Amino acid sequence: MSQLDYDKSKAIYKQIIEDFQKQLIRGTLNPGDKIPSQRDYALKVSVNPNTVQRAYQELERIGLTETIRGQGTFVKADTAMITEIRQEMADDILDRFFAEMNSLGYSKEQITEIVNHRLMEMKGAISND
Amino acid sequence: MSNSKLKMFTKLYLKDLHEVTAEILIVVIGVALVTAGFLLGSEQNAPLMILPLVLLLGLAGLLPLISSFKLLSREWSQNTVYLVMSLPVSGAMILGAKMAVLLTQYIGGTLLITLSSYLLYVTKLSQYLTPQQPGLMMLYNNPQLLQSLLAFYLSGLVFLAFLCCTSFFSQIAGKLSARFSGLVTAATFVITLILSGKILDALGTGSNELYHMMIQISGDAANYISNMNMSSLSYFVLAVILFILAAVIYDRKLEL
Amino acid sequence: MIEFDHVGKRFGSVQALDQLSLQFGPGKIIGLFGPNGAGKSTAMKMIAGLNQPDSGHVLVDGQKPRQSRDKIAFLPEIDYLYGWWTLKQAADFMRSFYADWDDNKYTELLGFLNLREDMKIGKISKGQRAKCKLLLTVSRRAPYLLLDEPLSGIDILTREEIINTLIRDFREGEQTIIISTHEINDVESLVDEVFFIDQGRIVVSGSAEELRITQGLSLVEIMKEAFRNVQQ
Repeated sequence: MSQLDYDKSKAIYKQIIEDFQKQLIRGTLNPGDKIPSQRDYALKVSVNPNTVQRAYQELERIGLTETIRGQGTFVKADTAMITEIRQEMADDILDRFFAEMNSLGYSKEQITEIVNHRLMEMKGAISND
Repeated sequence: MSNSKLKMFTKLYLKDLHEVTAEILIVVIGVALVTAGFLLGSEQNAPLMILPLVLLLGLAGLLPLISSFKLLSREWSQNTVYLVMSLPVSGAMILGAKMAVLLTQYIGGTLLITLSSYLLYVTKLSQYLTPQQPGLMMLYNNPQLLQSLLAFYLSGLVFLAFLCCTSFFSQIAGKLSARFSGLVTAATFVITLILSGKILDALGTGSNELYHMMIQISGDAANYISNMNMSSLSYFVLAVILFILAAVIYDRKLEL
Repeated sequence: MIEFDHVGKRFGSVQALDQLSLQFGPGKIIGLFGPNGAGKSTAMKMIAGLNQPDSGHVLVDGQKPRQSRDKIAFLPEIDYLYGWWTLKQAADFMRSFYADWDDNKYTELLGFLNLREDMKIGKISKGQRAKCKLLLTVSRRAPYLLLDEPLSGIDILTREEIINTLIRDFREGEQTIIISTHEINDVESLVDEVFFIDQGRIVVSGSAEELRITQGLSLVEIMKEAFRNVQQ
């Protein structure tokens, strides 16, 4: 796990949860894997242990992790859950995208056009490699 | 783990002792040099060593007073007072450890010089004094002389303690004023000495009487001893009062 | 719990603390933020029993601060150790005065902070001295840890070591750490609760995370906002 590069204007515990979710989506964390203890994680990312505790508690509450006494905390999420999270995160990004584009005055058609155009460019860039 | 008061006091004592290393060394090295001087030197030069010894004696008596100012003021100038004032101990213990160091300095220094003087006498000077009562025999045969000497020494010790307590009290009073602390310290010191003198004169145990006693050393020994002891007692009581005042102000009123 | 109840403190013509009322709850890392001269050091010294309020009162677990000195580990900004001490002598001294001294913690942190017992306090670098001060303070299992500008003038790597030491040893629920600093940036992620103080008064306070959520700003930005408003 790399250093958490967090945005100081947003709740840190939420960003810890997000980071965890991203790792699940990317596959760097898999169901059944053991995650670091709260203290170890707090040290790793230089964050207050209370904040880490809040994040871990929330992760457990939404069912992504479970703590087994005497053994540690493990990833509980299954592939179905991970897919759902991936979808939710994508939705959030899209919501923000649409909101921003709207505020710039782009219509639905313009957005579709601009997105397709960009995708073409990226494909081209990839195939030219 | 027991943190006995004795252990804490000892730590404070050792720490303060280290702070006056320079003053202790002055006396120790001085005595060592003089002793080496008359032990290794010629018979004729030996009597010349008496003067340095007397001077060193004066120094041994005076340096503790100077140290008393250094011991307290340094805590503030070096900011170690933040450490000391945060310790979970009373001002009495803090000041008590410093007083113990000052007394150690005085007793150690004067004893060292006394030993050196006796050594000088025994090795080089015995020929100059009456052969009938050489050395310590003089004291054994004349208990009143011994008592007088002890009373004299004790009064010197108590007077030093009194001066040091006045020093502590003055410095702590000085610290109550942020801007004029030096002035307040000096003024308090002088005023306290003058007032003490006046109080003791009124009680009949003051410096006038003391002076007369000292020059009458060959007179009535018993009277001399009791007067010395009365003087010691008076200065002791004054010293205790000043010490308590200093400790109370330190505990309740001093701020950083 | 530490409680300030309408505390006033004046130094000459400067009102250092002005009707200050606050509570530092147990088990949290608390940030006391504000510009230089805001009253942070004065407040901390008051908790440590090194000065007294002119009006109002301060209580530490219901007692006067001077009676609670054995529960408080205060780390002042200035150099307060004897220069001729070695680290070993300093530790030995502390050990004799505080029943809560933890030798295992001391030895462990000695290694963690890369310090040697034979280091002479007066001869080492500023960063090493800061680490020594921290070591001596944190090796006590004191319920209240007061750190006055623990990171100022310290190089970045040493700062990280200091922050990590605090995280590593923090006993949530049992220990309260109060950090006063004007460099909020360094401790953004470290504090649970914050108190912004200016000219002896609290201008903003609350849970760090809640403030971030409700205002959408970092603590640094919140402080800038708060002081801009005060100056108007």
